[in-house]
Amino acid sequence: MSFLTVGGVTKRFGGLSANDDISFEVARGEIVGLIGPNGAGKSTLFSCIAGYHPVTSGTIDFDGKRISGLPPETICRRGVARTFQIVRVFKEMSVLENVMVGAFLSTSSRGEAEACARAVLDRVGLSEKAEAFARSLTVSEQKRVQLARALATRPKLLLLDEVMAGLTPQETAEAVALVRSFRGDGITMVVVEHVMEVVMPISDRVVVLDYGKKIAEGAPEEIVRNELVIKAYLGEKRGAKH
Amino acid sequence: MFAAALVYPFFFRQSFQQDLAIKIFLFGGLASAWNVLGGFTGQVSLGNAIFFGVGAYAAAVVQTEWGWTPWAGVLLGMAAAVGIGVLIGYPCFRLKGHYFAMATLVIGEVISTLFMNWKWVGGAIGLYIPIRDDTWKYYQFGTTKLPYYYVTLAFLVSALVTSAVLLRSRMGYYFRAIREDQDAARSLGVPARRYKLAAMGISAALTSVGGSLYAQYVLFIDPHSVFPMMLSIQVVLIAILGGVGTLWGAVVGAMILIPLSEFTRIYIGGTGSGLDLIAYGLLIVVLSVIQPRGILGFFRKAGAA
Amino acid sequence: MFSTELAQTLLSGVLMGLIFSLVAVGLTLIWGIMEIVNFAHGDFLMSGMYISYWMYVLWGVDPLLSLPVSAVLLFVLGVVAYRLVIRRILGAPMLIQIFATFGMMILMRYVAFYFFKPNYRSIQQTLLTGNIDLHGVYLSIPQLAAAVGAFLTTGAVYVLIHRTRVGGALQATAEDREAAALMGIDTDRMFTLAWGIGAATAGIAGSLLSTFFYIFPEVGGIFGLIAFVAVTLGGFGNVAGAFVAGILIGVVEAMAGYLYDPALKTVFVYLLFLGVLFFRPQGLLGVD
Repeated sequence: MSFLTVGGVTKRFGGLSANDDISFEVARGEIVGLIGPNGAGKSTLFSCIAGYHPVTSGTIDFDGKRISGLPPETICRRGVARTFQIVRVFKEMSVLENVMVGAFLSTSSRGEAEACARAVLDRVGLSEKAEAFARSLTVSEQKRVQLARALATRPKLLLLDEVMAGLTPQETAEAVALVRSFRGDGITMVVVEHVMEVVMPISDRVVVLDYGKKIAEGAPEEIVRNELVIKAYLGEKRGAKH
Repeated sequence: MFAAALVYPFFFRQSFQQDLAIKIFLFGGLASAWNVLGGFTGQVSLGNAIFFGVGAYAAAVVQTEWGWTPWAGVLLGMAAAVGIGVLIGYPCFRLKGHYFAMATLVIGEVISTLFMNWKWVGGAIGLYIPIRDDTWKYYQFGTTKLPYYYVTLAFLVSALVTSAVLLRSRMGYYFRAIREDQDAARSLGVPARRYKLAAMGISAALTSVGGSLYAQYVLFIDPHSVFPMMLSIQVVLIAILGGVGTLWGAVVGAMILIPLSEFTRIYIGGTGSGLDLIAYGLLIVVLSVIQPRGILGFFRKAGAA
Repeated sequence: MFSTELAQTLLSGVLMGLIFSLVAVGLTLIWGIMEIVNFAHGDFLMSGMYISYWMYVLWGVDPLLSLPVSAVLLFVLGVVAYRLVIRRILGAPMLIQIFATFGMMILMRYVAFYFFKPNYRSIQQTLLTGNIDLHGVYLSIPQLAAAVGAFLTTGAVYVLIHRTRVGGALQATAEDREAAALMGIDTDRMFTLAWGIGAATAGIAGSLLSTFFYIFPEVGGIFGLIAFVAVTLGGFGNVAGAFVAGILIGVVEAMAGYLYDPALKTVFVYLLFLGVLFFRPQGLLGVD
């Protein structure tokens, strides 16, 4: 049974089709990579799944129920959490408070929320920064705050939007390990990344978008050799290893 | 400090000094109420005078029309204020930032004009509350200011306590998340609209109580004294002066601004000269430019690096 | 008889609306270029009115002649306001921005209040006086002249924005600040210019208004609010839109006063404003 089903999703802004008839499925416990050159429509798709944009046509189902058309907060309550491509932490709140906002989804007790938040912070390695104001952190630390916050909502499906962009090789390796460890918690993930070397090692399957359309889907080793995919990336003049 | 407030009237017996304190408490409470919506939740409303006026008129009308006790008016005012607040909030919360502020401003003016033309509540002439001998039932005391003092103090305290409880509760965290980044908050399951309406309701109810207390204190109200834009501005200024979004900011702000306003009015201006308002204007501008975080901003830590 | 009254109302609505347009144009300029709502805009108008008033009372200068003085002084005032205050709050949270311009509004208004007292004043004898009678419809010549002046000034601003290089630079800055900067446009100078022109147009409107309207410190409040409505209706940053909206508001206000109740006519304008805010936030003429 598919956990997340994206069915023929099209999203138009004015005359521009950001997403064009995209369909794929994600099984429970999978890690699916979503890649494609700049402007392919990956973030738009995430926003559609998470409820920020109503889809122009098509459907999105999660855990057996329709979620397309629901507001973001309801979709989160169903178990879908996301991070944003451009980091959006609560700047004037401490790191701990940031994560607590996520934790409050499952409890109204401050004590419980704080305990849950501290546990998550420990998991992502931000415990020493718990009391710091979020705006004083580096960008990569803020990304981890975002991640922790999303985790604190105890999601069943996690949508990660370029969490590894702009990280040093050391930080990237840590991030990859962290993301892999979530699988042990039974979290299903769809990971958007721009750079191939990051997404291939962690994905079970890969879906490729270009100009709003899905152009390929399959195991990482196949995708890497897929001609359409290679052309899409080369056409961008960004060096993608193939 | 609370103890000092409790015994203050016994050391300062002059009517003027007690009046000053009462005003400080009242405005401190109003500013705290505004803070719930504006400071915590980040929705800048410039129309809080609406709720003040509603509370004032509720207290007055129940007496002039039906002879009830003003305490009933307090409750009625709160209910009306919450109702109006939700009615305003429902469409307005869709608006962003500046537009929300302007909408609340405009709605404030509309309501002010409506009351000026509404004969049942006295129109532009206003309402006089019938004077009685000292009584708790009708909350009037001609011979002493002490009861007013303590009741208004209680008002301030309840506003502060409400704020403190909110800050530590899930609601408070959600409010602040909405203020920081509403979309990010929604992605974490925060039902933004519902919580904004709640903030509005709480803020409106508290402000309305302040209005009712004010009506009983001065025993005369008209649209010009309880609905004007300047009142809304004054309250917001106090909140900002002290430190918007903090617990004690409203108190600090009131403690500075009210005496300032009263003294300029009496010693320099004489009523209606506008000098106190010039001082206001200057203060607002200087504050915005130099220390937007308010007085308390000087003391808050900037966050560990 | 009915139709002359109606025509009278409509016409005076249009005339007043032209003044509204001029005030709105300045506001939309500032708003469009830096997304700051200038709550003090009405008080720039008030300043223009007082400048003309005092030049009339002290030296007998007709408002139409003191108009350039008003324009220049207000331009300077606008630049000063930008340099001293606005520039420092460009990146500040919205609440602070609102408050800064609000503070300016209060400051200007009550300085006027203090020095000039709340008395209603008027300029009695102007160069152009009297009425024109068009088939029973009376048009006051000063009001007509003011409306013409407003129309010309609005036109001048429009030409400036859409047909000159400076205007192009202003538009570019309004559309995309960073891109404009990358193209070598001095953003700071554009902002300064916007404030200068914006204030100047309000000052001109004030001078024009002073020929037939009462002069008092709070006059900025009403006109400022109406200018907001006009800008919202016309789309932010849209000069042509502000122009049309201003006239529309003038007519709506006049008709509301005629058909319903003069005391409540402004309420109708406000209701129109709220309606637009909710149902068509990009303005009646704005582009999505």
